This record gives sequence, C-alpha cells and structure tokens, in this order.
Amino acid sequence: MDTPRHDTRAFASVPRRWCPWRRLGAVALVTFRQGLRLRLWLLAPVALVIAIVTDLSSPRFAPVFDAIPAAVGTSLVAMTVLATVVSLFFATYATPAEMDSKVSYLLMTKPVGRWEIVAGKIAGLTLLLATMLAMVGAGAYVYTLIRAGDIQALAARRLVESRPRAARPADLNPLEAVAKDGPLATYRYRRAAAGPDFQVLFAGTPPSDPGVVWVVGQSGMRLRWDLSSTPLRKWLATGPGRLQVTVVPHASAGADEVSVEAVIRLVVRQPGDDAGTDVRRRDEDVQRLNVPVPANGLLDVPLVRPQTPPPEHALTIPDQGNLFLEVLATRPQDVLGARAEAVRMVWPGGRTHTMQAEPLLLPSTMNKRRMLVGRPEPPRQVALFRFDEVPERLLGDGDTAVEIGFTLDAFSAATVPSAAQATFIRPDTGESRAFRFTPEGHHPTLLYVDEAFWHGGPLLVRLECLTADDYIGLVPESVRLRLQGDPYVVHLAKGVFSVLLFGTVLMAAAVLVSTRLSWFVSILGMVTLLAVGTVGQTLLGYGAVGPSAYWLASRIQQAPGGDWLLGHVQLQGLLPEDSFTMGEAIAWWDLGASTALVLAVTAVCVAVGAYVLRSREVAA
Amino acid sequence: MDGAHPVVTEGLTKVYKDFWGRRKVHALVGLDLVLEKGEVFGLLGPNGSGKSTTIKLLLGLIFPTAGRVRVLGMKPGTPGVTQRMGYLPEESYLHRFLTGEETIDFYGRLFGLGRKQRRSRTDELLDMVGLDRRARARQLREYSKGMSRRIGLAQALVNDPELLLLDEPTTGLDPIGTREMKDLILRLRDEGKTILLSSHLLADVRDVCDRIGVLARGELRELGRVDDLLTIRDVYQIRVKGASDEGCEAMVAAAREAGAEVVAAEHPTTTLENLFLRVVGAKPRDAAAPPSASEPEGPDLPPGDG
Repeated sequence: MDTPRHDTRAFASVPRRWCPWRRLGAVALVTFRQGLRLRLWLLAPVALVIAIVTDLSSPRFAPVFDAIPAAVGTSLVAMTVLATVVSLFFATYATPAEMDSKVSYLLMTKPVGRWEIVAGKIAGLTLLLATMLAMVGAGAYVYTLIRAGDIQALAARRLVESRPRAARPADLNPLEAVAKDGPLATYRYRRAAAGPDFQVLFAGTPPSDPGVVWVVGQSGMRLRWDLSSTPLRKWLATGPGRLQVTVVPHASAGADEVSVEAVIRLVVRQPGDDAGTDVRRRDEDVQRLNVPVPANGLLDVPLVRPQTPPPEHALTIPDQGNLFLEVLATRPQDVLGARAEAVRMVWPGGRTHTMQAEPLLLPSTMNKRRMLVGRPEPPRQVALFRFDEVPERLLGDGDTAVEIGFTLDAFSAATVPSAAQATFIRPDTGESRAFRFTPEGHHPTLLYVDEAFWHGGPLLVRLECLTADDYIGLVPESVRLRLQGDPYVVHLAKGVFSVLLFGTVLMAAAVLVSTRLSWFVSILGMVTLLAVGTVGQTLLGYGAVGPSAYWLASRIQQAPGGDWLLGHVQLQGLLPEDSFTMGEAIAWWDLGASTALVLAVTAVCVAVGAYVLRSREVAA
Repeated sequence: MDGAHPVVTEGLTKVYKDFWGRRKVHALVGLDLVLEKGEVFGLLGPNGSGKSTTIKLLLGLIFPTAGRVRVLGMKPGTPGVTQRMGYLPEESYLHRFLTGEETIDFYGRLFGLGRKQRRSRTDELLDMVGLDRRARARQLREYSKGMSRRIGLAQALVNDPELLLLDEPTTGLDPIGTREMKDLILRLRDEGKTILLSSHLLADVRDVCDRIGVLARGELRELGRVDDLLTIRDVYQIRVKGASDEGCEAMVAAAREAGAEVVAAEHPTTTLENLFLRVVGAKPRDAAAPPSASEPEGPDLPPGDG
C-alpha cells in the first residue's frame, strides 16, 4: 500500500544541548528535596540518641578495653541501620511513587535520558544518606571528644587494679595500651609476610637429622602424604597389598628406652583441605589404626578393597575421593618424625612404590584457626610468624608495638599468668628477646620491641604455650605490627564513608528493582538481597553459628551459582570491620578499592535500570 | 522549515494487551494525521475514543502496535524531540513537595538552562500564567486546581517549545482563567508554534482551533477546518444593529417573499463567559478572537444590568 510520505526532515537539524550532569543533578536534587520534605532527616538525630544511650548504658560496650570509645562502634551500627532503613523503605518508594502519581509521565516527556533518571535518583538518595550520616557522625565525634576524658581516667584506674596480672613491666595488656596511647589513638597494621608456620622446638640441641619433620603427641599435629598420584588404586584392583611407613621415634629426655605409639589415618579430603582434626567435621570418611612404633620405626599395614565386614588392623581403600595418609603421635609424651621417602607401597610380585615427597606438617585446626597447643616442657609445638624487611620509616620513633591475638579468631583458655611466650628473633644477627604474657580471649596483647634491639629489617616472632592447659587459635593476622594510624577525625570519617558505600549499593539496588516492580515487591526484593548479602556471610563463617549453619552453607554452595552467590554478594564487606571500632584504621587503598567496586556496581544498576525504563511503557 | 509537518502519523495503531500478552483493547486504529506548522489542532472525542492514547504515542510514553509516527521529524520520545516540545497533562503530574519556583527551576534544568536563564525564565513564566509571589513560594500540594493548571502550563513552556501538546488545558480553570488560557493559546499560535489540544469543552475548542479531528472508538471519523465543518450550508444569517421592530418584521417578510423559510427571528444572547467577565470586571476578550456562530457576540450590557 502506498502511503504518502510527508516532509519531516526539516525538523531534524536542531541539536540537543549536551549537559547530562545538569539533568542528572536536577533529578538528584529533586530526590534529595523529597527526602528532606518527608522529614527523613529526623531519623539521624534519633539514631544518634540511640547510639549514645546504648554507649552509656550497655556494659558490653565498656570502653576501657578499646582505644576508641565504643560510641564509634554503636554510632556505626546506628548508621548502618539508618542506611538500611532508608534504602529499604524510601529508595524503593521514590520511583514507584512517581509512577503511581504519574510524575514520571511528565518527566519522560522532557529531554532527560533514562540513565540520567536512574543515576540521578541514586545520586539524590546517596546525597540524602550522606547528609544523614554526616549528622550522626558529627554528633558521635563531639560526643566522643566530650567522653574521652572519662575514658582515660577509667582506663588508668583499671590499670592500677589489674597491674598484678602483668608478669613483667614490658607485658602490656590492653588497659595499658589505652593508658599509653590515649583513647583517641588509631592504628594501622603491618601483617606478617608468612605464618603461622608450625615446628617442634626441642630443649637444648635438637635431633641431628635436619630432614625429619617432627610432631608431638596430643597436639593435633600430624604428618600428611597425598596418595592421589600413587598407583595405589590400580594395584589394589589386582589384589591386596601393604603400606609401609618409616617413622623416627624420639626418646624423651632421661628415658631409658624409646616407647612411642602412633595413629595411622586414612582420610578422604579435597586437595588443600587441612581440616583433618576439626572437631566440627564429620569423621565417617576417616579410618584410623593405633599402632605401637617398633624400634626400627617401620609401620606395616595391610591395604584392602572395601568389603563387609571391614577387616581389623587393615586400611580399606575407598573406590573414590582424594586419599591422604596421616600419622600422629598418640600420647602427650610421644614425639615422632618422618622424612622424605618414608612411605612405601608393597604388592605381591615384587611391585613397590616409594613416595619421594616430604611429609606435610599440619597443626590441629578449628574453623580457620590453627591451634597452638601447650606443653610444660620441650619438645613443644611452636608457631612462627615472619616479617620481611620492614622499612624503618614505617616504624617512626621509639619502640614498636607487636600485637598478638588481636582478632576474634585468636583466643586462649589460659587462666594462669604468663601462660604463653613470645620470642622476637632477628634472623640477620641471631639475637632474640623473650616475653611471657597471658593471652586474653578477644583482646590483644601488646608487646613492645625495644628500638635498640630492632628497628626495621626482618623479624621472626615465635609463639609457644607453656602449660598443658593452654592453647591459642592463630590466623595469619594474629601477629602484626601496630603502627600509628590516622587522626581520629579522619578515622571516623573513613568509617562513615564506608557505611555510605554500603548504603549506596543498597540504594542502587533498590532503585534498580523499583524501576520495574511495585513498592511492596521491591521491598521484598531488597530484603532478599540483604539476607543473601549479610546472612550469607554468616553462613560462610559457619563456625560462629554451629554445624547446622555449616550444613546449610555447604548446600547453598553446592547449588548452581550458590558458590558465586555466597562468595561475591558480600555487602558486609563494605562495612568497617569490628577491629575498626577498636582503633584500626581503614587503609586508603582498601577504601579506594571499595569505592571503585561500589561505583562499578552502581554503574551496572544504572545501565540495567535505564534499559528497563527504556523498554517500559510507563503510561500504559 | 517551511512546508514541514510537525506531526505525521500513518496508519498509527495501538492495541493494549493484558498481563498475559493477550490483545485486550484496540485503543487506536489506523490513524492518519498531519499537523501543519503554526496551527492549533483540536482532538475531540468521547471518553475512550483514543485521544489520550494518541497523545501518549506522540510523547513516546507508549509504543505503537503498528503504523508510523514522526514528531518534529524524529521518533517520539527521543531527546531531540522532547527538547523542542512542551506537554501539559490533563492533571497535575508535578512533584507536590516542590514550590512553584522550584518546579519551573527543575524543569529548566532538565532543558539545560543556566542559572541566570532559569531565574529569568521562571519569573517570566510565572508572571505569564498569573501566579503571584506568595503562590510561587508555596508547595504544589497546597495549590488549587486552577493554580495547578497554571503551573503545569508554565512548565510546558519553559523551553519555548515549537510544538505544544495540551491535554484538557482549561479543565479546572474559572472563566477568567479559561479566557486567559485561550488567549495564550492564540498568542502562541501567532508566534508560530504548533499546538495540539484535546478537550471535552467543545466551545473552547471551537474558539481557538484552526482544525479539528474527531475520534470515536479509536478511529478518526472527521477531520477538517473548524469553519468548514461547522457551517450550516442551507441556513443564511443576517445580523443587524439599530433596526426598529417594524424594520425587522419587514426584513422577515422580505425573506418569505423571496421563498425562504424563516427559522428564527429573535434578539441574540451573549455567552455566559462574556457575561461573567463583564460582571467581575475582567479584561474583555481580545478583538481578534473569532466570533462564535451559535453563541454570537451580543450588545454590551450596561453596568449593573443583570
């Protein structure tokens, strides 16, 4: 059908003014004004009052253990709740409300791009949140300054009360840290380059063979060999064989004869999974045999295929899974070791296979912690942390504080004084200084390295527990150098900014879902996002909430995309860590990386939201 | 730009679908429409006839099911089009928490106007639509319906548009406001702007429109110049002033003698609008406005009469 073509070209020549930031700013400003005129800002003083009341009334937040008053922590929590509330109820409301009231009809007849609308909304909401957080932050800052004097006096009083606990003047505990550095001090840290590496420390001269890897009894330490690359299963298909492990028994000082008992374990694990003695792990994939160690150290065990009933004094090799062989010393007094080529497989017909690898030394573990178990006398388990070439300029003037057991992952059950020892060793000169201290659960112990002894360069820190009742859980961050951090105002501003980043992501997500969905459904979507982004984190740290949470987390991880979901949607990662409230400064680099991440996420939300809006018939 | 058509639709069709994608309502069927530059075009029709659908399609708020539509030579809804057109919706679709001044400033920003420009444009437009200083500083939630129409018109004009879409522009306005709105429409036309308006108030349409189109059930049933469509060809009307009763009777008799049927011979009445304007002492209508055929201009009433 011929249709008349009308002249429309003459109109197409007028260019549009290029000023996206002005339009984006207009949408942002109107969103900001909407929030203000709905009097949302009133939530800010309410949050501040709640934070202050909490700080004053709750013994849990007693400030004397922390370098920074607990008001910082409570105000950050209040800010986080504030950001969540604003995003959950207002950010999801702004766009659907405009759709319902048909304001968006008119808006979209103006020369404003869909992306400018979405980006402007997010910018306006972020500006609103920033204003509210600034109000709370400023209030918290003033309150903290007013309270600082009280805290200092309280810390000094508690220090006097607790002084008898310190074994030596150099053994500073957290109270002393407060008194020494002042309540408004902030810190940044340099973590050890390596550690914790576990060894067995013998009294006096250690056994002469340097190739032997030692373990001590009832410490959870074990020697491990990976059997995956051996012909074990292939040979087993032809018939049963034998496994021979040659260990080196160690006689205790003063003992007339060597008497050592060992445990041989066969475990099925993923490569790199060293949770072999984790009490929370299921143990059905473990076989164990208790065997006395003969004088020649040769442990000889039959190997068979799965059969019913399982034979005694033999190891049954399952048909599937990654196989690991582990050897432990049984009794507290037992010490044994092994060297390379200690494991041998022997089959009828003269077939033999000798493993070349040295045994891997694994300590006992609990969740992510490696357990350092105490013994009253050597040989004793020790953990080593290594600092490589620390630049002198980082340390400033004076002694350097070494902080031990700062994180919540490190603890000790010790109740007696001086139950642990830290030895600072200079690898370049061989000099060492030892300090005894009492590890405190959930709080750091500060030891000061004398400037004359060490002020830059490499440094080894060796930790050991001195009684059978003691054990310390260690993570790589458990030993670190405490360095002077930001001024307090910068410290607080960084925390507030981190909460703002968290809120910005929530705002962007809320605006995105609400471009297509109704207010109510958008809220549900945001609740789901928050659940995955925050509870998912908790599930990943399953140890904190028990085996059932671990079971749930593992199921989610096994589901399609579940691993990615739990691994990447980590909203909590944007918030300051718990250690921030104790004065640990957020590194500028971390803050920059978080900002870049948030900008990237926001850009994706803007792009998707703009696409949704463009393809949507807003007036249909 | 002479000879160009600001709005062209060819076979424009819109079918609304339900949640499941099934065709539900044929809102517009094969609309062919061409607007001339500088004219005032009236779109008439009962409720559900497709007027609003047509306007939404021209604005790019919804997309056609079939057919072609070009506004100012481009696809509707693109920034190049929206930069040069204005839209007054039938209700106040403005942010109710903004004041009058903030509203115009906001839309000025969307058009990329600078701070100085926005300030002068805001003053100029708010003066034009008759919002005083106090009204400008109040939030729109406190506005009456008439004030909302005025601020709505001001936002539609903030970019000095070439094409103006007015949806029920006089709804909610008092007679004075209605008259001012109509005068403004005619003034904008005289400035060369093209105006498409839809209205239920037929008298208003007639007063300002050069052409009209009548939609019914989504189809264009009538299209043409207002005068052409409204002229009753077989009736001839003579208006005289100053004649005596006898003279009038003589004229009626002469008409009968000429073989004509005299349908009516009476004194004409003025419109209620004119009566109201005179009573409240408002500015009389612009002399250039076309007289109404069915409601002719009557003789001036003496002050206080009626």
